[in-house]
Amino acid sequence: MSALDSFLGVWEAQRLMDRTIEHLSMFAAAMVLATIIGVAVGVAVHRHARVSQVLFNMLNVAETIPTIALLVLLLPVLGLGSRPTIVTSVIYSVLPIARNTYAGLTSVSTEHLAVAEALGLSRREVLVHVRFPLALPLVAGGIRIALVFTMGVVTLGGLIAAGGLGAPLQTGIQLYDMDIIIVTGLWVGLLAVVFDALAGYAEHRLGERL
Amino acid sequence: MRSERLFDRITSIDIDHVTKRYGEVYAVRDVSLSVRGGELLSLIGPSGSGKTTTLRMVNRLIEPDAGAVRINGEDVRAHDPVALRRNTGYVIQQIGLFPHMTVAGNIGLVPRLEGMDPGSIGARVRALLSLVDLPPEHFMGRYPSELSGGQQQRVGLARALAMDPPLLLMDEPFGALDPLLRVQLQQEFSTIKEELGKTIIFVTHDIEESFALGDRIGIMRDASLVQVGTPQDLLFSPASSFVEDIVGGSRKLRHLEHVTVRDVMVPLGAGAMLDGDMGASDALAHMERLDLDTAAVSGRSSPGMVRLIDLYRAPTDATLEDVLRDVPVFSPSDALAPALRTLRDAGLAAGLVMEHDIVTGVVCMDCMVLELLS
Repeated sequence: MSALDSFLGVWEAQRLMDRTIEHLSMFAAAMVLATIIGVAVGVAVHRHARVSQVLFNMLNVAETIPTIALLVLLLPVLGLGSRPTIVTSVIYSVLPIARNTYAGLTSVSTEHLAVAEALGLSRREVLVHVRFPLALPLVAGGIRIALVFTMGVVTLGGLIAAGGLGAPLQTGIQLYDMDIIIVTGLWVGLLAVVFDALAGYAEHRLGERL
Repeated sequence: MRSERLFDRITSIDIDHVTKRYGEVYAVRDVSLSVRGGELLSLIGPSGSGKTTTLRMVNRLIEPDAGAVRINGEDVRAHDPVALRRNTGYVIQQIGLFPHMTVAGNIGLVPRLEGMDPGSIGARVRALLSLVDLPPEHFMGRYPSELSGGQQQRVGLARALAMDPPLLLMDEPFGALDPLLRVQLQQEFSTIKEELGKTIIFVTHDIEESFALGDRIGIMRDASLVQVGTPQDLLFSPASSFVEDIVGGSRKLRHLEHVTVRDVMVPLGAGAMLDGDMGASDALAHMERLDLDTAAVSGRSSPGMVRLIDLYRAPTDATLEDVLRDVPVFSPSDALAPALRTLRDAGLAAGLVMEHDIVTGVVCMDCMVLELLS
């Protein structure tokens, strides 16, 4: 049997198209939530250095909990399936996005902030028109890190019946079927690489002008 | 959000016994100063003498510990700082154009925040760019990183004028530019100033700039105001030896007879000498690449100079010969005084120096002044 035949065989038998759609919808939900929360957190604390330090230390601790442990810890609360998977992804992904947003907002040059103030921009206008646009490359960098985390966590979701591409991987491991493991593994890996490359391109474009 | 128009014109700015202290150190100590409506008052003094602090108290970027600043008789603390600043133009040496906005975006930022409609903002941006001698069609869409230092400072000035403020605060706006460009911008600004009829407070540490632009000059030292007066007042009746030292440099101008063009000329930089047959668009690309604002041209009959601004306006098929400006030509052994008189009478900032039919350098008002002061 040729490589292509075994690939197509696995693709059909494991319904990888449906699994990919499941996978990506969890992935997208987690990313959207993490981005909204992460950016909001970064914006909320950007003028409070002390608060931000405490908060980021707490998030750092959350980050050290092993993924599987966190997934299992959430089971009693959220049950099986996609919900705990998405929540776990968000918990892991908020930190890099919030931290990068914070770093971007606070690293805007004093010269530009002074000029904005002198032109008569209010604090909110400085945030919207000066700080945030100048922070965008760093925010994008944070999202890029989160993309890679999330891809991994969503795949682990297969362990707790979340569906997605983690499910066929589990099947492959249980049946010791190398074809399924290799095809699904490569496919998940390829998706991660493609998303990372797209995010890297966006990050680069945003940084070009500055 | 639309800010109130706080004042249509300035009749007076009174800085009244103002003091600002940082810990034990006085930044400004009991300074009183009246600025008349429509005048340009230049504040000059060594760094740390308190001139910038004084300037920044006018639009409440710094609040005084004691004393008050009144505009048209009304304490500035009665106004909302945001509204006050939108009624006041502000230009600094570092310019601080926002790198993520185009030239048009930078100039139109505050009008946009004020809710002006896009059509009028566009028209305003165009008018301001023309005022500062940057053809709008070439510059509106550019980003700050695509501009030379002089062009950035012009955009900075246009941005400060966006809301047509009756009051303009300028903190060493030309300080970071090279001498030739600085004198050119000073001259342009002096013309613009006449057109605009605004009240301006202008901080500098360059006495010649002060003399060139200021209707009156305030001299500061160690957080205090030492003397305020017209250039003549300061030259002929200095209040102290410190004032005498500061304005003293210009007294050397009286000994001009002994100075020749050779002593003050600036040698022509590499690439700054162009051939008259060169196409205007090639020259434009060349000068933008080298960040030159002005270049010498060896014309068919006589040499001349060409400025970037001429090239933007030149038809595409023009050669430098068609657009060059005739400028006076001097020999290195010429006495400087008559040479400068020639320049002044022609209303030009610079002339060329030729030796054995080869252009070897440039002589300009500002280079001369720097030479004499050193």
